[in-house]
Amino acid sequence: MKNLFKLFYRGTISFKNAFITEWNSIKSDKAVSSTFLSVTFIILIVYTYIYSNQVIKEVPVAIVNQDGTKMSRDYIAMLESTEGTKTITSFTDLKEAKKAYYSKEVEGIVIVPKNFEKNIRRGKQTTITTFADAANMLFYKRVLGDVSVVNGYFSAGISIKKELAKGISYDQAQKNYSPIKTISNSLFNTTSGYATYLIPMLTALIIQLVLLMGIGLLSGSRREVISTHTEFPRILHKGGVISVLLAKACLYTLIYMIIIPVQVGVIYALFGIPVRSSLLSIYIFIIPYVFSVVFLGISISSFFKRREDSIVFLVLLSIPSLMLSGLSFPVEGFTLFYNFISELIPSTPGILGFVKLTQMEASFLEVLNQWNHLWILTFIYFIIAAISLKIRAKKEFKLKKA
Amino acid sequence: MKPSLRIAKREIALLFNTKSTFVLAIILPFVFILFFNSLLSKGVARDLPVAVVDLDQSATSRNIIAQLDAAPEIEIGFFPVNQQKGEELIRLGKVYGLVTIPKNIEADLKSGKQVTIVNQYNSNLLLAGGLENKAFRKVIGTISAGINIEKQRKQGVSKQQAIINYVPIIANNHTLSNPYTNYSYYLNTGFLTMFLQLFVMLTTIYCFGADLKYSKGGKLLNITKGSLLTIILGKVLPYTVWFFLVGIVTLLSMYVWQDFPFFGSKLTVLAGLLLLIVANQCYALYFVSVSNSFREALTFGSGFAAVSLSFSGVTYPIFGMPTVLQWLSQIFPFTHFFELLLDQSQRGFPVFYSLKSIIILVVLSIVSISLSWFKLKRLFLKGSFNHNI
Repeated sequence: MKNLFKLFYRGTISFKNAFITEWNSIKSDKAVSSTFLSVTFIILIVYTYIYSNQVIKEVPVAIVNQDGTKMSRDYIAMLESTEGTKTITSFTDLKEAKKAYYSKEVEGIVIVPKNFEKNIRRGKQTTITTFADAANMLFYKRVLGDVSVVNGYFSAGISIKKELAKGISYDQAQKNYSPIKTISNSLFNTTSGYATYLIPMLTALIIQLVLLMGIGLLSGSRREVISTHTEFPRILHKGGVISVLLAKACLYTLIYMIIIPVQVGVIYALFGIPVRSSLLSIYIFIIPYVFSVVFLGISISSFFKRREDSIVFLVLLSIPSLMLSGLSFPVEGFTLFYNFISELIPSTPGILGFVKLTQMEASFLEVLNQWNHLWILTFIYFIIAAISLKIRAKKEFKLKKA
Repeated sequence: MKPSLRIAKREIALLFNTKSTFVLAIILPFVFILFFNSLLSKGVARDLPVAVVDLDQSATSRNIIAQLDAAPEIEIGFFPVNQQKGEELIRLGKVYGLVTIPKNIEADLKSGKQVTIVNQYNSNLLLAGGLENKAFRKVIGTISAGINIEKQRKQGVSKQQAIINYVPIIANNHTLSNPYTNYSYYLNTGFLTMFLQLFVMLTTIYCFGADLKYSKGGKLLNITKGSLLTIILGKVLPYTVWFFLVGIVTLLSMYVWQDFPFFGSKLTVLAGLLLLIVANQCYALYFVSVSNSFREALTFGSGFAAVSLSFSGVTYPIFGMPTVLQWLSQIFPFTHFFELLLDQSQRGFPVFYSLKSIIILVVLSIVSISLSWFKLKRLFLKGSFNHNI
């Protein structure tokens, strides 16, 4: 009993020491503190600014009007009035329109055929031909989406007018035309805005990126001057790693308790990105996230010989982690292998949980799966970190002695 | 032996003796080529899980569910008892959308009343949510059209005329460049080449930074008898050649292994690739010349190269950015290379339209190297960076 108490007492002392040592290293290492500030704020602002227009509007589309009747002009006017496309009607034939497409003046071509009005009046079918460039999916979706909507409305309008001619009321004609009405409610990100979609994901990813970089830099410089065991003397004792690891994790969690409100409170507000959760639930959620990332960082930092190495490898890792999180491309499209890999990266549940909390109005119970997942990762990486830190300290101890 | 050859030889020896450089320049590029090519190998999202609340429980509602399920994009996997439970499934991330079939749909349809089917989809996940909604509208639209046409036939209209009455305007949509709207074609073209230039950037900074960090600048100048050009050529050219080969492998992985569409000029793409590599090396030298330490150069370089993905318009078109950023996007070599690559591969434009990109890439290289020249010279004379941090 007495021994246990002694162990605990030493543990708390070592916790305090480690906490203060780590804090001093962060403060005194210009690179680490500037990474924390520049990446967390500047990079986030730059990215948010890039996507701040949220949706693409007025994509230029070339119109080749071979008909030139009133009805064809009505059709074009309807296309013009959509939010997504801007019609440019100065083209007399496809060849000219193609030239404009080559020089990127337009992103698509719509051809209104000859006898458009005549055929419709005679009750014949007529064809609107669209060329949309899918090399860029966003333009493609916008152009094709708008053309389809206009085609649908125009067709419906013609049908309903015919019914009206038969003496049926407008309301009834409209109901006859579409027996089943569809209502699509887009939830959460109602305008399908790009910043609203991407920035919460990036915020959570940046937590991982910055933490790993900072830890990598610090551990790299300790390695360069061989000072791991002198800065954290308790590591060499039995069970000494535990308090050192916990101290580090707690310190970084505290740092994020300050960074997160600034990001979410200031930057999100500035660019009009909604936040739909309380700060408290974000805090509770990021504890295991920061913990698992810190331990992961310590585990992998033993691979980095120089402090600069960490920057290089972690920057490279960040984009694949984002892809693997499954929010940019649905996980249903991944193979089992990649699904497994993604489960091992803290950012996968971290991003998912953060997005669900802040964007999808999820209650804490609804992110419990991710939260537990993060605790499991925390546990796994804690063990790996403890082993790798111990080995390194012993190695350095021997090196210094020799 | 010529001094530039000596430098090159030394550089290659360093490459094989330093673990981190070796991993960075030789191994990782191939890991990433494998990763991106295999990650999105399916390219098109299929069978996204969707929930249906069936309040009618009739033959008609079951038919609607079966038809929804038959759409390739979605799969009906959950049948929550009410809308609330269904919305919970969306928040839990188990489904991408929730379709609610109202009560009495069968009876209402039979008596000629209009019914409403509601689809709630998660538009916070842009791609998946969008696909779900598109599939929903298409399926329900087809069912609705079928009922309309059936009604007309009962009034004695021929089937053909009934169809014409329903859709007087046919849409004949041609999908250019990427006919299967395959996401792998779209994203991987960007990601793979973006990572190539990231590797070029980082490796170049690495091979200069590592020497300057350990104050080897003077030693190098001694070898070349004070010529900066010789140092640069000796250190950079081996990597230019190497990354050109890696770049060719990257392109082969896309256009041969994965069979992405390629309609343009191969020669122009190769010229663009070479210029992208050279331009990135020039930019890397610029970052080395303006930095106070190895670490700073790496931070600038990696940040610049990473952000160039967003500025290239892969993720969000340049056209939609704020005007200031539209201008800014022009200083990124990758923006111009990416435009050239798309024009010459998927879009199959005439070579003439890619000359602009090539000229800009050349100009960017010349400007960046001239801006860094004197600073680099001073740096090498000093032998090391200002700081070690």
